[in-house]
Amino acid sequence: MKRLISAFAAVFVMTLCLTPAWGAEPEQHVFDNADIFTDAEEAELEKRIEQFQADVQADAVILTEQDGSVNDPELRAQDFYDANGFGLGSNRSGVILYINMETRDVVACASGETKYVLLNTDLDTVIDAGYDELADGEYADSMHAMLGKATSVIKRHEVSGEYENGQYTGAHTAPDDQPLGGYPVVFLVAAVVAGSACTILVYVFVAKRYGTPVRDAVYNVRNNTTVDLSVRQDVFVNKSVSVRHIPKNPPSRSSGSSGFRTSSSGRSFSSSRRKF
Amino acid sequence: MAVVAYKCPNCGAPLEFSPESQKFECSFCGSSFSEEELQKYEPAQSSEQTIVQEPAEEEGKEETAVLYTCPSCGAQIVTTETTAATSCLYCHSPVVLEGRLQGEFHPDRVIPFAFTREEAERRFYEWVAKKRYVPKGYFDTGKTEYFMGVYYPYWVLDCDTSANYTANANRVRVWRDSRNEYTETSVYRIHRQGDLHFEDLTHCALDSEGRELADGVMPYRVLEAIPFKMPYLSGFRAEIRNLETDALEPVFQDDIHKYTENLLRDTVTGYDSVYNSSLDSDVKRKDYQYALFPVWAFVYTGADQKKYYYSMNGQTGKVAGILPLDRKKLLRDAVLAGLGIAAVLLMIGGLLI
Repeated sequence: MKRLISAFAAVFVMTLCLTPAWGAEPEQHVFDNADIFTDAEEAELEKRIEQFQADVQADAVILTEQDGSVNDPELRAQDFYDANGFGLGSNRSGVILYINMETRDVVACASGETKYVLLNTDLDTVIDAGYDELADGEYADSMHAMLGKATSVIKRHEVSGEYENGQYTGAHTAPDDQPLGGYPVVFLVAAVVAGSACTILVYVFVAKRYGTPVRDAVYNVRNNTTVDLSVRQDVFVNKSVSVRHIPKNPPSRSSGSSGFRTSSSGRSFSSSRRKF
Repeated sequence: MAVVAYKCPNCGAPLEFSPESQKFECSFCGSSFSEEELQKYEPAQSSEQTIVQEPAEEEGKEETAVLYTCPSCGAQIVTTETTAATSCLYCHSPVVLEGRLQGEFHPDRVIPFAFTREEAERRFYEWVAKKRYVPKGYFDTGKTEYFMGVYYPYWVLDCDTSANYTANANRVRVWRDSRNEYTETSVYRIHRQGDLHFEDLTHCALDSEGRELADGVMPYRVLEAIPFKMPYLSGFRAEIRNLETDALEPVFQDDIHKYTENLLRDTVTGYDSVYNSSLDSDVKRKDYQYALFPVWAFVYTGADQKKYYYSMNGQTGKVAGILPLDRKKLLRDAVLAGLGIAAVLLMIGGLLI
């Protein structure tokens, strides 16, 4: 009993240690580690993000770095977003814009409800909106342009009724948005059915074998028979060929988990990446 | 009808066939004789017989009992119509009802018992010990009753048939390109015709309550059967047939048809499916032989006083009979198996996401 209580206490304390990441919403949203913004530009971008939050009920984060060791900039952006507890609402909705000055990567990722209205292709257009400024070295303008494009794309979905008050109204297909963590329910049902069937079959089969006084006698056909064929004919009659068209999956806004990437913590993101 | 008892030429005690030595042994003086040696001596005989009609419990099912006089002690013993060998209940001398084995009832072949009663019991307990769901210790506390070596009558058939087999068969090839999947099906007409030879098709020739157990211990290694001699029955019980070949003809025909179809179907290879098959077969030659094959028959009474009936092939040791079942243990194992299958499916599901 003492050991059980100690174990529970340990788990409780560990959980408390992890909660800061899930605690109150962080106040800083612009992290200029590469020092490409001036202080004034940083302040303007913070205000722009506040406006973004009010407009579309989603969070926004900007991260700049100068780090040549980052091999997967999308993962880096997603992990940064997760680790620092960004996002609005229970599903932690929001976007992160990431610039790595060393590897010349620009990344846009969306999480939570936002990833259903900013798919990978939509994030391509978000990067397109600020790409020229980025290439010209006007980094702050580039961020404003991208945030503006993200806002307009999300607003378009609001107009069509797919996005309301920060919630996507369509099917949530990402594994971490599904019950049981995306575990296919069909496998659960199949496991229960197969397990029950196996139990019944094993019981009935063995009980019948024990309760049956005799089994079929075995006649050794191979040893006790000989076959002498006088006619052995295989005559070709006809041949037919049927064709089945292989359907391609149509592009869908609810394209399933295959359109999303997963961060190190297992959360799903839509994302786009480009070199500049 | 002659009733014979084989006596030891040295001491006059009863002689019995020993499965261990495959000779005829005297349990009193220890003498042992081969078949050839035994033929030099005349067995003791008695010819008295009385037939008694028993009142029938069901109409049309009158039972006929036969009384004989034991050649050893003169006691009168009752047997059934089909008994051909037994032992005197008073002096325990083995006797053979020679008259029942004359003429058309003279067996062509016999397979002598290959192991003793003690060995049969040992093999039985060894067989039971391997059965996972027999209640633990069930066969330790009960007792074996009526442990008897019995020769059962069988018909053994060798035959030649001619057969004509036709069927359709498909060969399927599938390939794909970027847009379509193509399935090519080639249809063939199959024809097989020829002669088949079957040896040693066997069925029990006794229609009685023990028939199911006698059938259940087959097959026998019929090649090891030897020409029948009366002394082999001494020390055992023997039954003569009450089913003639006509009665078993449909059963043999079914066997021949089934095996013929399987044999000819096995010659059709290289196809994905074979269907619409048709078989005509005609038996050209039939050679029936009447044989006696050995069975150890016994009854086990458990500690719960429930009786279990078993038979064991006296040549191979194969056992037939109903076993007591530990249902709780079986249910537990069945549930565990089900949980195992469920766990595998859950893991597969986890791997696919």
